[in-house]
Amino acid sequence: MNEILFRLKYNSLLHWLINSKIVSKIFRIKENAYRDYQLKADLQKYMPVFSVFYDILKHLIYLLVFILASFEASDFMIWFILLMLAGFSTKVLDYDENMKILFQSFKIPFKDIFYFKLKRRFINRFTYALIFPLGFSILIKNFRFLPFMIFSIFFFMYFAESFTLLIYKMKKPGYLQYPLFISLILICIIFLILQINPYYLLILMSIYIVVSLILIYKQKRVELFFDIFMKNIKSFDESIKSIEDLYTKETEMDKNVNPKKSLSIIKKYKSYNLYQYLFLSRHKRIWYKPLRNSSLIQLAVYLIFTGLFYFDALPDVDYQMIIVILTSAYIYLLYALDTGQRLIKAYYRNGDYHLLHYAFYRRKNEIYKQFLIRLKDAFVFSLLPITINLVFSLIWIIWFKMPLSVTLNFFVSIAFFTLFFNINYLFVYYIFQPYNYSLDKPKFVLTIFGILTYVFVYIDKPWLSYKYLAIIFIIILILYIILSTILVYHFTPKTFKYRD
Amino acid sequence: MQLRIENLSKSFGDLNVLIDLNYTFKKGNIYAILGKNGSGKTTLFNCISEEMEFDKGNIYLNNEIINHQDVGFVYTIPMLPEFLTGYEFLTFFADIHQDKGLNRDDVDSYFERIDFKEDDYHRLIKDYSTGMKNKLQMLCIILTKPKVLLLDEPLTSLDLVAAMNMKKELLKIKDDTIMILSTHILQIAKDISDKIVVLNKGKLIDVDETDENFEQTIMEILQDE
Repeated sequence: MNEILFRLKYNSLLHWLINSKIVSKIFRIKENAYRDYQLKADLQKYMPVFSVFYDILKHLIYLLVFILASFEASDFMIWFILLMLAGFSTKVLDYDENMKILFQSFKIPFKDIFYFKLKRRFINRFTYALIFPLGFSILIKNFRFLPFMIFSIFFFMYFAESFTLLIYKMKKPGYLQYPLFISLILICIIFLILQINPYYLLILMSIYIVVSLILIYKQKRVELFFDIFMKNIKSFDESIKSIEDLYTKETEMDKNVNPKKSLSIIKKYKSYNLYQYLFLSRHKRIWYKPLRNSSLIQLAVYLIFTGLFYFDALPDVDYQMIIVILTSAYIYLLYALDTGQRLIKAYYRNGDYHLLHYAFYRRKNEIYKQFLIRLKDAFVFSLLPITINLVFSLIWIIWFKMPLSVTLNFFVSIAFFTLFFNINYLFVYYIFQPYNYSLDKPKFVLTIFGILTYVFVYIDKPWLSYKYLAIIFIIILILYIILSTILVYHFTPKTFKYRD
Repeated sequence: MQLRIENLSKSFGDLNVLIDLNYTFKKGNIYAILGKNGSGKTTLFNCISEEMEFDKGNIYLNNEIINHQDVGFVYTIPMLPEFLTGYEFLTFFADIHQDKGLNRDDVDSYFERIDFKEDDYHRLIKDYSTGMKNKLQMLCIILTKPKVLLLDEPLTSLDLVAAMNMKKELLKIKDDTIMILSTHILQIAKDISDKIVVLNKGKLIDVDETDENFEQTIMEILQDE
């Protein structure tokens, strides 16, 4: 089975190795080596070593991200997420394309596949169960719960799979499995928060392990497990389709489109203005709904604070602190809605991908013309939240005599981030064009940008109290727009291309 | 006007698709490139339209390096923005190509050329059949009268009447353009083209259509591994 899996899985890796000049020189791999079965078999011996290093590295990166995130989030929230990941990422009973081939083409027995996967995932689980609790304990500077954490992660991994086996007869096991799973995690957290001796919980976990093992052992018929596996395999194509749908649904056009109005629109607009108007009017769920909802939230929050100021309900609270909280919350809201990115995905998938196949659409002037129209629309989308912000800032300054410099910083920050989140993805889109048609393989630059934005959204924001923040933000924004527009004008004929 | 390809080579990994390919296409002729599946027909088109970088060689249009703006490419899978109606797309297309004599007031007459019913003008493109999409795409490219027109597997998805109409449209612009179509169906090549060229082992080989055994010759070339 190892050989078959190796053939299935590592051809692409070998191919990559061969194509990499440095690696091929070091290992003296010749161009036709990937056809050499013996060499493949030899390399297979080293694969687990690479795999272990990769797992450790991966978990260290995750740990780093969690540590960065924990500056703002609570420690127990992190612990909660870790336990969730432990259970939901457990996949011995899951399936993939290779498993399907092993089953259907090579008729490998279920038991062999199960144990094979179990062994392969052992190292992965071990590193996860060790590195995360250790990192977490270092973070909260408390090693008292370390053994409990390690055991509980292993337990949740075991629970995720054993419970599937125990309730295999149920039609929709998720209804029972997931609420129970989350309840267990909550119990663990309550134990930690209330400082109850976690070893009481370990007793319960141990009882579950013993009982479930007995029950599973009693189900001697291997076919039962085979059935579960086959059930998964049958839904494999559907699963893949549902994953694809996730990407495409995100960019789908509105359902209630009425093309009958189009003649009047055609009379009113021409060329790219016509195209853009029709695009936006048929993708309102992507830009209009989030804009409406976020503006309503913004309005409600500002009204509440205005009410609190009016009734003098916050006499001892620092005004600067309120501004910091409001700005942070607003930035988080913009990040969560992600309208800018969803819009460029829709631009690409529903229009640009197709039109970039035409020569006219790749002309420098045409690209630039359309970019400016889209940039203008990005500004228009920002007008409503900025106006709401302006009105309330003025009310707070004039009516409630709030400090001018702090309120000005607040207004400019909100305006800056509203514009930034709307236009930045547009620049990234034109300069890097990070997507393929199915939107599932974005270029690395977008991932980096996503991580940086994520870190920025969650970290502390001391700069909100800087004296000259308003001027700095205005200068940055103007320079950024000018520079990006110049870059778009000069480089997009080479960068703005379709990818399959 | 002529399209000259000199020593064109393109490979993917260790697979050599085009090998030192040399050929000259002339205006006023319709060329049909015949080849087996995977012989490199689409790759050749992608190189000519500059959508794919090639490893070696040059492509000239009238002794100057070809510019992708001179090439019209009709794809096998129609490339159209599906959130628009056919009418909206043609209007937008006419607006952009005013310099080529297209006029948004003539959109109705454009539709008539491809036998669209009036009811279909204002339907979303996503609701069109593949054949309708193909006709619309081909019409757009033909309307711009490109110097070089590449048609990748055209007519195969069209019904008999649509295929005949498209053939007429292609013949109308034949004298002003270098037209190259790729196909693996011999009948289409025979029906529409003036010259049949076989793409085999990365090279283009002329076939004499007047020869009574030319079908046999094609088979021999393609089977010659």
